[in-house]
Amino acid sequence: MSVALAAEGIRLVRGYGADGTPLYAVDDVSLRLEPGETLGIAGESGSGKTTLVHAFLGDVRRGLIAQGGTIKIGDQWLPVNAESGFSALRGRVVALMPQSADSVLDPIMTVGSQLIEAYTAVFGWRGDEMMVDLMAQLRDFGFRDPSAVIRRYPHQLSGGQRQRIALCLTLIAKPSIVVLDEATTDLDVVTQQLVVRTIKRVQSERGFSMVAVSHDLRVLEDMCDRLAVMYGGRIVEIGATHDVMTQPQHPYTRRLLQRFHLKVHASESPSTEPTPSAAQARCADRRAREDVGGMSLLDVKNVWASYRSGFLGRKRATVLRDVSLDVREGEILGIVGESGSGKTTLARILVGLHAADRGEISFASESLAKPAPARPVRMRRDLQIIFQNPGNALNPSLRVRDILGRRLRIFEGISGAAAAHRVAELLEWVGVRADAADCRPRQLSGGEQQRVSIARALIGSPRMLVCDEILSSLDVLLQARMLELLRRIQRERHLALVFISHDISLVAALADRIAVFQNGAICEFGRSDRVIAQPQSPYTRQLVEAAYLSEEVST
Amino acid sequence: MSKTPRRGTVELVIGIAILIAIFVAPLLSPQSPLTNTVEILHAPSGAHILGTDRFGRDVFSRFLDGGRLIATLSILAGILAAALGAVIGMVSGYLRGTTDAVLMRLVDVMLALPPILVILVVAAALPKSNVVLVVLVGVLLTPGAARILRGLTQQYAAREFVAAAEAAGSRWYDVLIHEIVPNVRIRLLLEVALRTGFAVILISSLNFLGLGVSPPTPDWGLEINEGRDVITLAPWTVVAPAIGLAMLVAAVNLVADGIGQLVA
Repeated sequence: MSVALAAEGIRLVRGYGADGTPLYAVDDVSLRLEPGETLGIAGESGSGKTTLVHAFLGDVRRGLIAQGGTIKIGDQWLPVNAESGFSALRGRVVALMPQSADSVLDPIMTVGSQLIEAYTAVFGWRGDEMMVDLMAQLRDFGFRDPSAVIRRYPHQLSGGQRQRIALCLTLIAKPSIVVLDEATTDLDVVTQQLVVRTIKRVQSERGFSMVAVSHDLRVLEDMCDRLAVMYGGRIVEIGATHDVMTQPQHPYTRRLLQRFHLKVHASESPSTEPTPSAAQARCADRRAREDVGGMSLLDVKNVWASYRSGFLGRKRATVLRDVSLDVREGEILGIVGESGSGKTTLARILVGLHAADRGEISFASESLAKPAPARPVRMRRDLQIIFQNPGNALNPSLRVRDILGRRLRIFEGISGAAAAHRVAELLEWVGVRADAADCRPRQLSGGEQQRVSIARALIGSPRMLVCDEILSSLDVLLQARMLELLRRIQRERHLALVFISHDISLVAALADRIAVFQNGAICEFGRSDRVIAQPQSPYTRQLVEAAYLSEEVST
Repeated sequence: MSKTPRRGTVELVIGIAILIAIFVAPLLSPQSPLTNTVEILHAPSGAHILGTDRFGRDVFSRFLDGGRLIATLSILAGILAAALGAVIGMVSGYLRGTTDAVLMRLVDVMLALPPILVILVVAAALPKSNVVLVVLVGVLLTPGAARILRGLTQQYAAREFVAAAEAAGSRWYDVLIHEIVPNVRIRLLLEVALRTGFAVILISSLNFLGLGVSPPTPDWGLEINEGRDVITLAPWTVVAPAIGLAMLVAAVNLVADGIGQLVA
């Protein structure tokens, strides 16, 4: 029987242990993909899922050594490191859509010229016929007015539109196998559903087979016929999606699903994982705090903000409209909204990286009008920020010791042996192995990077932390652990948190109160349980439904 | 478990070996490169492996000796160009706005000037010295390095670790020194190698034109010029220094290539 793609015995070595035994990034993986089928690959970061699917395109990622393995595409068998054999197939027969549309799209070319470039690379210049085809393809990807879209630059499109354009570009040669590597991870839930629906529709029209990699089981459940679960470079379980989701065989799959359903069987719960008692403790905590009430720590009143662009800054895009909110001492405030709703701008304003046009912001009754370098050290120490992408927020050329050491010098005035001691203390506190101090960020896993990022923000004992989408690039298991870490730190230090995310279920799991942003304005602001249970604005309702619907169906 | 060397290592080793050879060669010189004999324009023989020039000096000794000075001057000029370019480029790329506009227009103006012409004018006004030569060539080669460092800096400045440093209150020079420089270190080394390559060509042309080092200093550019008149009678007087120059440029480019591949 014919298969679209088959992999046999893929083994990729990422290094050697102290005793010379090889460490595998992908350890003897074999699988088959039937024509027209969608196979999902789930796993946490570092499980080797991305490395594996890159191998399907004959791309052995940097620093890895292929120790064996062949890929069958169509009726051709190729060894995974057969560079020349694969280059003729890439894009034409097998195509890869990476996580971020921004790595596919060239920011300084219009969408149209990029499409034309990709098209001519495959089919040659075809003039009008080509344009007709391109327009039709854009319509396939849900663009009602393709002729307007092709004149835009990528930054003039929304995140979801960019993702669809990137997909269109990736699939321009109508390949028979499509590999989606976390293709919807960076999007908010509403946009995510839209993109997934688009992909499914195009697949049913064109009939290609698909491999979808994600840590998000919700997306995979919607998309895939079969589901494989990867752990430590191996496929620990593979089967029909429904079977894997309802009758998981492997203990790791069960753990993954447990997180996913948020339904917990106390007996099976591994001790290292957050347990239901933690959730109960949090509820008790929250009640206690409401009794105390708490002093207002941060006050944001009628803030407007915009970005200028164009010649001499004549164009102006308003990103915040009359935003007012407050955060009490020791409170967790959640901010939810889709990309472009102004959440990040507010975060930047709070820490002095962007100036508000109008409005007042005060922190512990001091004005926050000045930019960061002009603020007194005390204020910068008290109010700190953690960024979205830990890989980006840590200087890639510095060792963890130096990244933390620099901040220790600024905020705590210590260096040398005292600093080394503090670094060890901080790393232990956030749960990172001590020898990470000598590592550069890329030698750490995504979770470790984010923990280091958190450790950095804790230097100088802040009273408030602004967390800008800090969990969105992590998988479910890591998210759960990181939530636990945040809660622990927040309890121990009586920190106030401003927790920004596009994922309302994540925010609801942590925050005392939630502010929902839409188009730069707050459309709903209230206690978490009330916002989730009885959303007032239609937009909030839509977010809540998108986030909780699939879980309700499966439970 | 075989270990293959990283790409670029071979180039780097060969290039550095040639450069070291250029600096060590004078020690092997059989005679003083400055001794004049009565044996004028003798063809290569046992006594003079590469013959003699029109002043009766041993061409082989002058060949061995003729690279050290230009290599030194070029490397210094290369370092100066990369350093100046780095400062201008990084400040420009990080601060953006008016500073960027002013600095970059300045760089554009410098790019528009023909280097040899500028040196002709300045050299006429200033006393002839190696320091002037190095500074002049270094400054003239700055724009290229500035452009590249500006682009790199803009890339890094957009990343969140820079925002994190800014939020912690780092001023612009702190950000450049502590956040940007560690990321562009190797690229800076590459710039030094690239600019040195250009400097070799520029300085040897000047020496050839008689605007650089003065006779009777042994120097390949100068030797080519001195041998030019007798090229049909005694081609060895030109061929030897020409091979020397080609080797030097090749060595510098091999080093640049090696660094470039190690970075990639």
